[in-house]
Amino acid sequence: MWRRYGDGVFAVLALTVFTCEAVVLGVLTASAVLRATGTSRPETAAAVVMMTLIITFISLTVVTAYVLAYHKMSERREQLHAERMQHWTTRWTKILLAGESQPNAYLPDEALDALLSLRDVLSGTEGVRIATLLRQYHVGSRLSHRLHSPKQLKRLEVLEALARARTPEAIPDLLVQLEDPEPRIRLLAARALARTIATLPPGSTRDAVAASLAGALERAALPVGVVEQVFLLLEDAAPRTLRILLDHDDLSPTLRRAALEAIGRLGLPGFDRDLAAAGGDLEPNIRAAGLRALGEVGHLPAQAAAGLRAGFADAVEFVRIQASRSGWLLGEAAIPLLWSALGDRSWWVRRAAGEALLRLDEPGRETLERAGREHHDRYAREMAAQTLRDAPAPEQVGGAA
Amino acid sequence: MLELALELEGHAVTTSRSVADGRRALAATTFDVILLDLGLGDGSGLDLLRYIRAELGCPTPVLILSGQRQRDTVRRAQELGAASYLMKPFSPNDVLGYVEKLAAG
Repeated sequence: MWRRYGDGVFAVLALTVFTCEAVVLGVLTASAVLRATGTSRPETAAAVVMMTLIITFISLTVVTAYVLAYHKMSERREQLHAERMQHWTTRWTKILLAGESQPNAYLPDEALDALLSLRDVLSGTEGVRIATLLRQYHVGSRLSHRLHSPKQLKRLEVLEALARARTPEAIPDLLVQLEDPEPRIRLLAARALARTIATLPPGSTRDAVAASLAGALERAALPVGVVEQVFLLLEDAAPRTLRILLDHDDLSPTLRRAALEAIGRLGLPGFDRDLAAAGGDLEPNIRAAGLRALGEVGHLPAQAAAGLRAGFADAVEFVRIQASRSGWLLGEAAIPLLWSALGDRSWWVRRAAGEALLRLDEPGRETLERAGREHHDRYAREMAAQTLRDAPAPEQVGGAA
Repeated sequence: MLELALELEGHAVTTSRSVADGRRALAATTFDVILLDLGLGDGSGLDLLRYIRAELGCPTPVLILSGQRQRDTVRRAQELGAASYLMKPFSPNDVLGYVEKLAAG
């Protein structure tokens, strides 16, 4: 789409031009038929052809002029927008840093945009001041009001702005948006809600909102990657939300997988029971997510050890990859398992096993050296040698640490 | 915003919004400290950092400011010779503190 505004004018112009063209083509066709049947004179047919050419020429000229004028006006409009943004950014910065007085009047859109941009960039005292300014100017309710727009694009823009504003007063409206039939609206609402919850102080209010988000996520049917991103955006509120979700007995596989992935990405302790349970899940994606999370958290709960061992023999390749990757958690007891995994039919499993052996330091390196010479599988010998070649020398590792 | 914050503290600031502008500014002037955003109009700030260190051989301390939290990006910046890496959101006071510390050597 080359147009970002002016839909009405463009629709009228297109309708007029196409109507004119349809009419003249109709007249031209009728004239040709009449001429072919000998019921009209050659002069009349020539006049109709001429009229058609003139109207087509005018139509094309009008459309071309519109496109050129639109681009010219857009350029000017964007320039003015950038100038106003610059003006407001400077003004807000002076208010925040030099104690200048703040505007009393209703904020124009550029003032709001500039303030939201600063909200994204600034933390500390200035971040708190911006949150106060957003409250003073009722930005949350102003944006929430726009969520009722019939235009989906407008609603998406408002949700983006709410994600930047992170104003608690928008939470009820964001929860409503999470029930919207349009997936893109649910996606942006979930992101905005997560970012807003992340700014709430710990306590019962935050817990209650986190519980509402957990419930809404169950109904929202969002893709696993989106849900994982939502958990990451929750920052300090993530453990509580994940706890609430994982305590649901009938949690969907998508949400369980996203929750396990987030536990790993955030390196969250305190989910031993959930990570152990994932090892025995019927869904391979959940088994893999649980095994990966174990490695990322870097702690092997006693009840998860059996699942990790079982993962090495899993029928699904990506589960074996994650088991091999996290295998180092078993300590030297992992060496026989990783030795076998070096001979797996999957290159990725062999590679993960090689890297896990490296994490076992000296015993792991010795195993790799031995595997390079003695492993019965040719591909295992090659992988062991390649892993050692690619690995930094032990003294380099020590130096970096 | 940072330009104004630094000027309010009495620093002289030159701003470049692209890698090309940055190269021109570096060729024309010597700076005490370079603040580098990774998202520049025509490329990555890491490209400019590589140019500063490898091609210009310029030892000026470089403070990276970025919203990118990936460990790889931070490691890459450090390998290329960034003095420090500050993630957004940040406090202007933190930036000013870094700038003064880096300028003092």
